[in-house]
Amino acid sequence: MWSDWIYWLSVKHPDELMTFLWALLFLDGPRYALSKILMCLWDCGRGVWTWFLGTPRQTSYTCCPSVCLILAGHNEGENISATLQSAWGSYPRLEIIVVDDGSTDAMGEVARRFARDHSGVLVISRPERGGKASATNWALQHTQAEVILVVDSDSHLGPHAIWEMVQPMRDPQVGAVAGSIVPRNPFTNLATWLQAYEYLSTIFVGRMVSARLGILGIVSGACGAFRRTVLDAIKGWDVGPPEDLDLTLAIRKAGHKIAFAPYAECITDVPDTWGALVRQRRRWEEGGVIRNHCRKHLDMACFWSRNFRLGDFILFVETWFFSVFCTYAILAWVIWFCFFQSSWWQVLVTLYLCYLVFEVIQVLATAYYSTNPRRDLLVCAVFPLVPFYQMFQLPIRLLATTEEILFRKSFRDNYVPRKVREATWHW
Amino acid sequence: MSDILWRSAKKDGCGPGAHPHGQASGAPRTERRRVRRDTIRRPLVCMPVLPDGRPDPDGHMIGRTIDWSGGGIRLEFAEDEWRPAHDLMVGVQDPEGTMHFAGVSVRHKDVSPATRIHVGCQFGGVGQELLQADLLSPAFDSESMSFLPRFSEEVLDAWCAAGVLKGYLADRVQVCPRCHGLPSFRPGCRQCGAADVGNDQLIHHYACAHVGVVGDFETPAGLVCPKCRTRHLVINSDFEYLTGPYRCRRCQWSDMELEQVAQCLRCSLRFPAHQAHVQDIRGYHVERLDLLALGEASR
Repeated sequence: MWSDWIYWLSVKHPDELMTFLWALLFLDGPRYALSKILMCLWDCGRGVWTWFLGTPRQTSYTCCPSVCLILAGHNEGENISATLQSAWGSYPRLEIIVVDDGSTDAMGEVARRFARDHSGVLVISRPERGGKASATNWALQHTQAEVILVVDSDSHLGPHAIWEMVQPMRDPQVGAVAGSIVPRNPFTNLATWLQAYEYLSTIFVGRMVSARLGILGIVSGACGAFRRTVLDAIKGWDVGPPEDLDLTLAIRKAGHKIAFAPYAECITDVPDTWGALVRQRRRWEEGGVIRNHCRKHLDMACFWSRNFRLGDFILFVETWFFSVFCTYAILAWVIWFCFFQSSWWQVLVTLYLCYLVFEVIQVLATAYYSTNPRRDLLVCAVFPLVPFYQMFQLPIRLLATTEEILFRKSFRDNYVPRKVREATWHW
Repeated sequence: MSDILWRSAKKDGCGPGAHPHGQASGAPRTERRRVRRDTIRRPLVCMPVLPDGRPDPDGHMIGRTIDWSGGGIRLEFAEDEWRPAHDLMVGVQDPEGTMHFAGVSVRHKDVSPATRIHVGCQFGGVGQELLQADLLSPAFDSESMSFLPRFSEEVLDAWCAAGVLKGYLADRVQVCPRCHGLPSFRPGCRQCGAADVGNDQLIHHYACAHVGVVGDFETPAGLVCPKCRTRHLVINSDFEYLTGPYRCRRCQWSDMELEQVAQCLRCSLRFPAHQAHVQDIRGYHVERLDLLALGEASR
């Protein structure tokens, strides 16, 4: 079989190979592999230069603004205590606000018990659920802190996470800082293992690249820090989902930068069944690009708009192309491949091996930047299966994108309470 | 009871001044005592009380009780043990070894043939005054708005050192840092300490998730969302009310928590409760001499 493949490859003209390799080499290659190689080489060279000049490496944290951690949740009674324990006392100028958003379990009671024994913790409750956006906006009214940190109620912060998150705020142009999401259960089964690798490559390393290029377009709602003055200017969160993507674009629209703190770890559980994973990704894709990049914030890509910036335009073009156009283009290619491609298995093997090369580059980049190489390299051991995992997600993205274009499916998501869903605008 | 016995003794011809229980000594001294006396022989320790109420540290005397009545007690000392004094603090040991104290005033002194000094004392004087329960307990003085000791604490501490009194922590109070008066405590504004604080009322507009104070929504044309400019908002259909942070109506300071504010009831100083000084209120306890019980215990 291998000899057949090698023979087939050797007799192919380069033009013939380009018919199915051009997208991989000219699109995915620069996006996923070349950018990371260049970033690693740049940082490596800078490190050598710094060492050569004898410049001392800054090891202490110099920025210490007041921070308010907002934990808004619904029925998170089992998790909220661990989240509070992970955050309280980890930063000197920290206040915590827990928003009990219409919980029917003991979330409010657990939080109040914690607040009684720990200073600087406030618990506010409302009897009916109003959604995460309004819950976070409500908490904003109770604090004067300079930086607002939002973390999911079922996640907990790693050591020094808050310190890492606030350091980029030294730059007054930075309006928000994204944290790094780390799965708590990476080795439960194959689904969680693949997700853990995905988080390492797309969040940990991928967002490093995006932030360096100034095109980071998302601050996860699971772990994000926002400058208070910026939030006041844009009047806080809007109805989602996804309210995190919407807020990030609004902050960019207001002229602020988005930074990334790769070593600010927020540890959370990822779906541990394939069904739960499908539902999660479908919800993410539904409310993502179509609703925000193609409708609500479309003016950011219009060069005649008052808010137009080149970085935003590049971000939008990149998102439209890879998240929307490529989704349907791959579908078209698959159809063409099924009907018109004769040597199908040779092509698939070639594509798979090329993607493996990219994944090896991803693994090397992860190993270079990792602070826990043993854990991260173990996670990366699943890289041979990643091309299949990405193909698994393709139909989910296709279905979700199509549903959002045709039916605005995200506006029927139960994530947002019905009274809010019915009142908000359907972009 | 003792009067009946005394009249009975007179009728029996014991003569004026005769002791109802018979004369303790054969001395030809005229008996002045007219009340019943009970014999009690217990070891005692005696300390003279100085005019300022302190114990005389060098005047420690050891002796024995002879007898006692409702109004006084007779003591016996060795001649070289006795030191003249007007007021004494007498401590008598019970069979269990516990010392019980009483204050006495020396009335007269006799020298017995066996070179023993017999001292007749009456209960009272500075020492007994010192042992009054209301003087040993801390009391609140409404004029100075503070807890004041009824007696000088130095004097009471001196008696503690002498082993007569036992000090204990009666209470621990927070007092004004300026005048040490008692304050009142209440929640108040963290900025100015005012009591006039209330919660802001907020509006949550469903359509845009904006949450703001009611005042930001109010316009002459009705409620208008300051974020999305939606007009004619209707309660429960378009928005709901939420409780906001505390706001001081005097200085407009807004905060999520109130601070405990203290105001001194004497000098009216207003200060954060955490700046109050902590003052220990001490009381004193004494084992008082109960001669009836002591007599019963001695039998």
